Amino acid sequence: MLRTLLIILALALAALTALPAQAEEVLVLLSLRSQGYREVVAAARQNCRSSYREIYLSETPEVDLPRLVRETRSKVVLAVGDKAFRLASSALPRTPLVGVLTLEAHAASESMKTISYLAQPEQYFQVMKQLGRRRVGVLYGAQMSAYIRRAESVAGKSGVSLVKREVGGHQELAEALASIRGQVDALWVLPDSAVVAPGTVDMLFRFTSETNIPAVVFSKNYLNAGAAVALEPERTIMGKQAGELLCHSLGINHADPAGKSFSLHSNPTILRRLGIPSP
Amino acid sequence: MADKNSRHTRLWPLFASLLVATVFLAVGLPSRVLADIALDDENTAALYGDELIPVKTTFGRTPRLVSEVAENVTVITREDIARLQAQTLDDVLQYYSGVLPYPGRMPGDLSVPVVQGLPNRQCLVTLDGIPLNNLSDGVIDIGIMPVGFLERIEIVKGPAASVWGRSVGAVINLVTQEPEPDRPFSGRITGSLGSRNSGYGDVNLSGSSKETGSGYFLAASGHETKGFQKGIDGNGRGVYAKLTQKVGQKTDLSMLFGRSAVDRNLLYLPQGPPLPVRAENDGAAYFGISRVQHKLSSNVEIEAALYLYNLAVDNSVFNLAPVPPFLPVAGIKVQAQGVREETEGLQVAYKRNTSRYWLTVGVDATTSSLRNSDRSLAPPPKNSRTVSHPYSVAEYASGGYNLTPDLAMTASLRYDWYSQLDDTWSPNIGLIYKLDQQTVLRASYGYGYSLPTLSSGSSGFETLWRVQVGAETNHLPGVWLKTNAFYDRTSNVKLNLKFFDLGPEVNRNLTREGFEIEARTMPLFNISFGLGYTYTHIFNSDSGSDLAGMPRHHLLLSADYRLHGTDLMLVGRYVNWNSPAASDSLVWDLLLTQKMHSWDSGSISLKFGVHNIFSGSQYATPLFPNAPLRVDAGLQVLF
Repeated sequence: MLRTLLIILALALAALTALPAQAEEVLVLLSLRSQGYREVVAAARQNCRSSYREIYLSETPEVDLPRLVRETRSKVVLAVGDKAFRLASSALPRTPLVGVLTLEAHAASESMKTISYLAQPEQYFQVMKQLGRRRVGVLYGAQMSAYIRRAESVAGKSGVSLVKREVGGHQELAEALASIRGQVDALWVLPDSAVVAPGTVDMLFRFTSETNIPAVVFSKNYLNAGAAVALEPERTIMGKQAGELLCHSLGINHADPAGKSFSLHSNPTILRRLGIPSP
Repeated sequence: MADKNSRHTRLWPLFASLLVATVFLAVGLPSRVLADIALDDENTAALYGDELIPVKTTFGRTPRLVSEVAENVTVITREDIARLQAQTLDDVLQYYSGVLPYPGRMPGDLSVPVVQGLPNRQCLVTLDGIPLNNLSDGVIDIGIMPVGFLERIEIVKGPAASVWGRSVGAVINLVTQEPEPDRPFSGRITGSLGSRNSGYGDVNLSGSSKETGSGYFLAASGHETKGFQKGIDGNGRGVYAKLTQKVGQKTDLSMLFGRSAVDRNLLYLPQGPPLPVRAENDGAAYFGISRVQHKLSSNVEIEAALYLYNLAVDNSVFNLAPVPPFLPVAGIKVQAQGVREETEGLQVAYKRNTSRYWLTVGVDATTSSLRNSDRSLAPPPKNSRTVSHPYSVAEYASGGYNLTPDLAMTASLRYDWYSQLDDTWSPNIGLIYKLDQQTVLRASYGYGYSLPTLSSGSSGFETLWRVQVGAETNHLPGVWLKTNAFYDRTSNVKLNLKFFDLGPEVNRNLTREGFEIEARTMPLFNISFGLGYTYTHIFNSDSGSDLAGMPRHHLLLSADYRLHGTDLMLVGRYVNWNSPAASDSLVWDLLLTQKMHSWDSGSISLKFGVHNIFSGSQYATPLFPNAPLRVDAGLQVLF
């Protein structure tokens, strides 16, 4: 009986190997496993119905991307995080690539699209104008220098004067802050680990409190710590946008249009104390 | 003594050459893929308050990437386990370099892990950080543990006592699956049938609700064989349940319960004395773990776990032939051993994780109840019962510091105190140097210990100190290469590889030296090739004589074809046991997974396995021969 069953299974196997199997059309590469990354991917999947395969780079460090793409017959790669985007763009230069939650200024090509974790400088300057601020101080580390160059190039058009100080690390923050005291009427805080760390957050917001200027930050998590306004990334919207781009690459048209990828949040107590109307 | 020294001088140049070659290859070739990565996603996530989903690792007891650990670590993912069509833990481990399930004759066999030559109690197996080795003799039966509910298996080769306590040679940490995060209902059903009336099945159900913050993962599995060899049969079953609940934004609660059980018949027909016997082995293990994790800030967390682990094993041995005058007829229960252990434990840890350093400080405490019986009719007759209630307390600190962007140092220190034994300190220190984005160099020094067996009546620990160096690189065109060389000295080791050898254990001072090479190629015509080789040389530190009967050469060869839903693996396994009684044929397995149909959230696949295609004999002793050719086939549905 068992032998007959095995023979039947073997024959079924031989027949089935000839059948085409549906491949995973989207290969999802994630730099790490986090709640935010998960929200983005869930929204992308919801907005673009297709088959997905997820790979966490933090758990498979020696991942062989060309092979994975070939094996999954993936038509497009969704890279979440800078490391995933960099790896995918280097290893798979000819495969359509959508990067999301990236911070670095990636060289985009026809086949590469990015949805940045960080709002564009113009968006921040628009917020500054709404707050009535013109002289904006910003501290940054070497890794944000490309972003700052771009900000400088558009600051004039936005009616903002940028007072920038590059710092080599947390130990230079106090000196840098002292050097812009009295020269700025807002502090722009970027997601830069050379500037923002558990030990430096108090120093930054003590400075804005002492000088009576608002701090404009990149995440609403800092509003309670003393920031006045935050441009918060909406991960679900970013995921939906990624879904739109994936659907476009796959030639599918039924993705729902996404909304704004950044939302404005403020701390009314701080704004009231500074006498600034809520934006 | 001269002989001993000459042995060292013969081998160390080989290790050195191996490492130099790896480093030369790494630095001598132009970087293939990545430029310097200035930004780190983990930092970015932390700046945005994005919550990392905890990934438990064996080493450091806090989430770390493999590339950030100084020890020789192998991670086996859920996907790997599925591809290997594995049923139990021994079934998985046989496919990894330097790790052997002994005797590992069939899935679910009564087996112990042998890691780089050190068996039994020298290897600690943990489940989500809870030690599973029994306290009576330190042994772990890895054939009892199903793998259908595991997310990952992490193998740390080398002492990890500074983090986990009582481990000398290695730690194998089993990480259980979490509820499926994005769906309220999902699961997997697997069923297969095989030659010699064998069968396997498992069912998993998993899901979670974002609204309520709750999740569940339920699993059940069972396997049975009427015997791949005459007189060797058995069945096993396991159930597992995990429930999770988020409380607010900062607190996570989880509760898990699991039970595994086996019933086996094991026949032994030795060529000469002792007498031919049939043994029955019935075992059951259950565990319950309640865990709470609370975030104090974006990078500080406190975690507490309360657990219960219960183990019940009965071994009965029957004579197959009369042995007058003691055993006038066949079928008498010659020996009956019973092990009953229950351990309650508490683990509390404070974890701090920043871009510059990470630190875990914790306390582990256990209290146990051991009731063992041993009755034997064979001369000299024996009828003993032992009852004891040991307890232990340990404190540890484990951490790492990024000295420069490329150089990191790790260190850990643990103090263990045992109510019925001595106390001991276990230190460990390591260095990780990122030569570039493609190459990591590692070096570590560690101390390990394990507990003496209850039967030995000794209060002295088995101890080991070890140095190891290694490199891992992607610089070779089309090849991933990892090398590791190790040298360690053990003291007071009670080595008893022969699982059913009831003779006295021998205390030995041993020296172990060796190296590992693992390599994988990029696909060529959709086929990638793999190699794993472990050389282990073990000799008596006092006399200099080789220790026979321990694995000296372990070789794995693989060819892996993956295209269009077809996943075909051909794996060759070779072990040289350094013993004239051993048989060391190369054993070949063929494993096929064919995806037949897939949809948005699931697929149907056909699985087919041919094990030991040429019925090669591979064993350390003819007392425990491996199973000949066997075939199985089945279906797996993911939904």
